[in-house]
Amino acid sequence: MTARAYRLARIAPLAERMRGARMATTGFVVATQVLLYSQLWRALYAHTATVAGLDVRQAVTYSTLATLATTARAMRGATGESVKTRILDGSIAYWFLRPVSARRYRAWYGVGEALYSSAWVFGGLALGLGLGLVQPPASVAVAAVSAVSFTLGLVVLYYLTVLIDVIAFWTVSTDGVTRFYEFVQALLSGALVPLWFLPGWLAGLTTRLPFAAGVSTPISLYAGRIPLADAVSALAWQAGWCAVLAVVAAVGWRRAGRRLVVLGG
Amino acid sequence: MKETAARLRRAARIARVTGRAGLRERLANKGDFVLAIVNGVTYQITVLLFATVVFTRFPPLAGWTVAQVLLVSSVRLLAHSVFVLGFTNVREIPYLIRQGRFDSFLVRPAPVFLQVCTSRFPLNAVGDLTVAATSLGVCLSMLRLDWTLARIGSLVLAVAGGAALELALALCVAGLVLRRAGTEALFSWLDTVIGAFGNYPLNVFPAVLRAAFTFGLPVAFVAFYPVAAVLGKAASVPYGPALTLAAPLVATVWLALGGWAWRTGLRTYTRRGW
Repeated sequence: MTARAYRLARIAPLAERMRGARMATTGFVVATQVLLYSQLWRALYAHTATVAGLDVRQAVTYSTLATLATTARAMRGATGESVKTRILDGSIAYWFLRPVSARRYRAWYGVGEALYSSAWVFGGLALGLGLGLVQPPASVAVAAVSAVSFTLGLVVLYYLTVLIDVIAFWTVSTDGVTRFYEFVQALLSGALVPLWFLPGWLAGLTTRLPFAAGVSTPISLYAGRIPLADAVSALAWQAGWCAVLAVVAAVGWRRAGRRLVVLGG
Repeated sequence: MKETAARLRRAARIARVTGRAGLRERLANKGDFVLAIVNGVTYQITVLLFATVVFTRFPPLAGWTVAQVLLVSSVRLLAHSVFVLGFTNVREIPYLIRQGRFDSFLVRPAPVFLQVCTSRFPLNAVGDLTVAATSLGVCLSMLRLDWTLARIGSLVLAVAGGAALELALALCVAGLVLRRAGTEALFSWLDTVIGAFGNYPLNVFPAVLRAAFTFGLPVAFVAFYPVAAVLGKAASVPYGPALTLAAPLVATVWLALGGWAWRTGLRTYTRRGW
């Protein structure tokens, strides 16, 4: 099983590596967005020291890490391997005929995707630290807690994507759902605007949702907006969402397998 | 002349027929249909939310009032909506290539560009236009401007120029995507950069970004410079008041560049779908 899992996890990174233009474009997109946003936040902070508990260094750190995390994830998909495309062309049938279950195949494939996007995040983080865009973590404990939170965040984001995938078994076309998810994800994860800048009641609500658990929580821990004393509760929320989403996704896969319609021929 | 008119009539007929078929296709999945309209609204809301956070959390922007900055955002949103209504499918080219549909466009007796533009009914434009028009209405009521013919003309020209610029930039990326697989992420990059940086007075940015958005990627000409002309703030813009009138010229130059990139891309395109 380990060798098989290793082979499945390699699909996404290998597909990305095959296309030089794709990696160069990802690098260009990530680098320019990080630099543009850092300039924007610095310009906005020109006449003020602290906004919603964030100073300019924390805001630039937050923005850089959020851009890295979300852009690198959005860049994946060179293989075109998604439930949506497989359902549209009928080749989803193969997912259910292989010796590995569809659910397990998607999971190991997802591990590869997560590792690939993480490589961009960590590469960008190292570069950001070197260029002074990202402030170093306040302590070793903060770094460790942020790393754990980042990993839990990847799991949450994986399950959220799987849930969108599974919807395709019922709706066939998921364009609308996917775009709506992207909107909700951008808005409620804190990728677009740090959640701390939202009105109090909305910030309180959104920080408890799974979208925030994917992006905002690890970055807020790293930037010091969530103090170390509150880290345990933040990690517990993330772990809780992992468990809830895992159960929902498992139920979704089971039902999806029972109502599979193979298009094409 | 007669021939051109006949060609245009034929193109309009093709657009009408394929548009109607596209609408029927989108109606096949009711849930997706509704969500596509909602998505137009939600996309614009994310842009407005970012702008609102900036307005409310930070001090006034470089001598521009909130209503004035909102006019920049609204004109940009409206220009984007017009672009989405007519040309959003240019951004779908990577998927059309992957599905093999783009290859079929090359052998049909109709312009490829027209077929791409009508390949899918742009439902989200409905939501886009609704939010953009509402936002424009709100900020115009806040501004209480005297509406002379010249001012109305420059507002219309600003929206048309912004849409033309978005199309020109999308065509440049499309040309690149046709030449080289793997560059499609530039479409969303373009969307993000224009969406995030086209909403503010250029004066708030540091010198390097002011220059980049004026002389490099023409983000400032999508809304900022023409809106400065509408508001009579030409004297306060970077690099001189003449630039507030230059948007149509900049759009024309970029459209020519986009057209060249598109034609070159088409000539060098080789099949890579399945």
